[in-house]
Amino acid sequence: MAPLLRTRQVSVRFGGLRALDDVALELGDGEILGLIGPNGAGKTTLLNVLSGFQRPSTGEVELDGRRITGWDPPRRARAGISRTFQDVRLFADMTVQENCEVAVIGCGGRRTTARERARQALATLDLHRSADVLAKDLPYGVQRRVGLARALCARPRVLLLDEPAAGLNDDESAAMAETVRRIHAELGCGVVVIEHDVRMILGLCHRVHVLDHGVTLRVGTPDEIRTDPEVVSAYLGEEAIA
Amino acid sequence: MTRRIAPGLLCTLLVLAVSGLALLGPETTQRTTTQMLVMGVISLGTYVFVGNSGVLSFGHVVFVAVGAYGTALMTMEPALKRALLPDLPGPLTDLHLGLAAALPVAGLLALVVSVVCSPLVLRLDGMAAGIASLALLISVGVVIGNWDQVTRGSQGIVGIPADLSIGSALPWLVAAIVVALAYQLSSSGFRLRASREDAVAAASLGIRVRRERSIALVISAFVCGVGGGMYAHFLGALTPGDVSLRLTLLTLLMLIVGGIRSLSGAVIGTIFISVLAEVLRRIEAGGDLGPVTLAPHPGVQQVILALTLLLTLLLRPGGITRGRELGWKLLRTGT
Repeated sequence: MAPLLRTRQVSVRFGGLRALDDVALELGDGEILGLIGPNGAGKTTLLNVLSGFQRPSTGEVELDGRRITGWDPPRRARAGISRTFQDVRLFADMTVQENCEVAVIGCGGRRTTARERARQALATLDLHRSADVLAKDLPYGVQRRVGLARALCARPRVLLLDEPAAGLNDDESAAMAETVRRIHAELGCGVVVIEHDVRMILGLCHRVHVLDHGVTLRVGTPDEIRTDPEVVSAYLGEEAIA
Repeated sequence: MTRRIAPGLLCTLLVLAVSGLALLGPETTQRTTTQMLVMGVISLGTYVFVGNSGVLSFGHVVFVAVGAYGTALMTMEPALKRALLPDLPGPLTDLHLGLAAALPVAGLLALVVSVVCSPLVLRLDGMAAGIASLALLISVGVVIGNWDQVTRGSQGIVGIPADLSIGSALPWLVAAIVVALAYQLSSSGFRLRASREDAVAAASLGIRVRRERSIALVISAFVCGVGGGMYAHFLGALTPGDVSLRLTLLTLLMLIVGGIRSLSGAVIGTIFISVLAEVLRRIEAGGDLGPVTLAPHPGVQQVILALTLLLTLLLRPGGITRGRELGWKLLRTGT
C-alpha cells in the first residue's frame, strides 16, 4: 500500500543554492513524523513542497500514490492537505471564529457546516471564550493555537505544522505538544511537524526525519535518533542525550 | 440575519435622510445631492472590488466610462445621433431607450469589458496591479479621445437627456448598497476578504484567490457601469475629461476618507466629501454667504480636499469608519 504522502527524489534549487537534494520523505496514514535539522537544513522548504507553495526543481510529490507535484496550494487543501505557518498568518481583521470558518468555506463548504466545525475546533483547543475577538488583538501564544484550530477545521488527512511551538515558553510548549497529540487522536490524520524543541519532538513523534544542508541525514524512531552518533554530533548536542 | 444586514439598512437610512433634507433646499443643493448619489454608486462599485480584495485599482473609471458612453448612445434622440455621429452603425442610431432600461445594459457592457481586462490585471498584486490599472485607464482614455465615430473624440457628446434627479437616482444607489452588501455577505465575498487579510494563508485553506477576485471585479464593473450611465444623465454632455484620472481620484478620495475596507465607509466617505466639496465650492466662489460676505478664494477646494486625503492617511489611515460597519457595535454585543 502506498504511504499517505511521499516525496520522490525531491530537489529544490534557488539559483546555485541547493535547498533540498534528493529528499525522499514518507508519511504513513495516522503517523506523526518529526522533521528536524539545524537552521537552513531545508525543513520549511520541504514543507512548502508538500503544501504546494514551492515547486520542486526535480522529483515528485504523491498523495495516496497519486502524483500531485503540479497542484497549487488551494487544490492540495481541497485534497486534504492543511498547514500552519511559522509566522502564524492569521486573518488579522477577522474574529477567531471567522478565521476558523475560512478553512471550511475556503474549500467550498457550507456556512452552517463552517460555523459548527469552527465552534467544535475552538472548544477542542479551549478557545471558545475568544471566539468573537479579532485575531490581531490576541496574545502571541493564543494566536498560535488559533492557527492550529484553523488548520484543524479543514478536517485534513495530512496536517503540516511549521514550528507550532516557536516563541512559546516551556509550559506553553508542552501544552502545544499535548494539543497536537489530541488533534491527531481525534482526526486520525497524518502529521508532519517541524520543531526546534528536540525534547518535544522526540516525545511526540512516531518517526523522525533528520535533514542537514538539504539532504536526509537519518530517518528513524525517536530512540534510534536519540542514540545516533552522527545526528548527535551534527545537531542534537549534549543536552538532548542528558 | 438582521444584524448582518444592519450596515445596509443604516447606510440606506443615512442616504435617505440626506436626500430628504436636500429636497427641502434650493435647486443648486438638489443638483449637488444628485451628483452625490451618482458618486455613491461609483464609489460602492469600486468598493466591491477594492474594499473586499485589498487590491488598489485606478482603473475602475474605465467601467464608468463604458457605462456613461454606452448609456448616452442608447438614450439620445436618434435624430440627434444621426446629426452628431453619422458613422454610427444603423441599429445603434435607431436605438432609443429610457434611462431605467439603459442602465442595466450599461452595467452589462462594463461587465463584458471587465471580463476582457481581468486576465491582464488579476495576474498582478499590490503596487504592480495599481500601476497596471492606471495604464489601462490611460489607454482607454486615449481610445475614447480618438474614436470619433462613436465618442466624437475630444469634442465630446452633447444632447444626452439630463434628466437625473434625486428621485430617479436614489433607487439605483439603494440597489447598489444591496448588491455590495449581498456580495460581501456571500461565501465568495467572505473568501475574498480572507485573502485580503493574508493571501498565502487563504491559498493554504483552499481559496483560489484569483477566481474570487474576478468574481468581485465583474460585479464591481457592473455597478460602476450603472454609475457611469447615471453620470451621463447627470451631466447631459460627455467629454473624455469627465471620465479620466480626475474622477478616479475623487472616487478614491471618498473611499479612503470614509474607510476603504467597509461598505459604510464607502457611503459615509461619499457623503462627507460631497458635503465638504460643496461647502468649499461656495467659499471658493465667494459672495454673500448669509451673515458674512466672502472674497473669492480660487483653488481652495482642491487644496483642502488634497489636505483632507493627506491628513486621513497620516492620522486615521483606516478612514472615518476604520474598516468597521455601521451597526458594528450591535453585531458585537447583540449576542
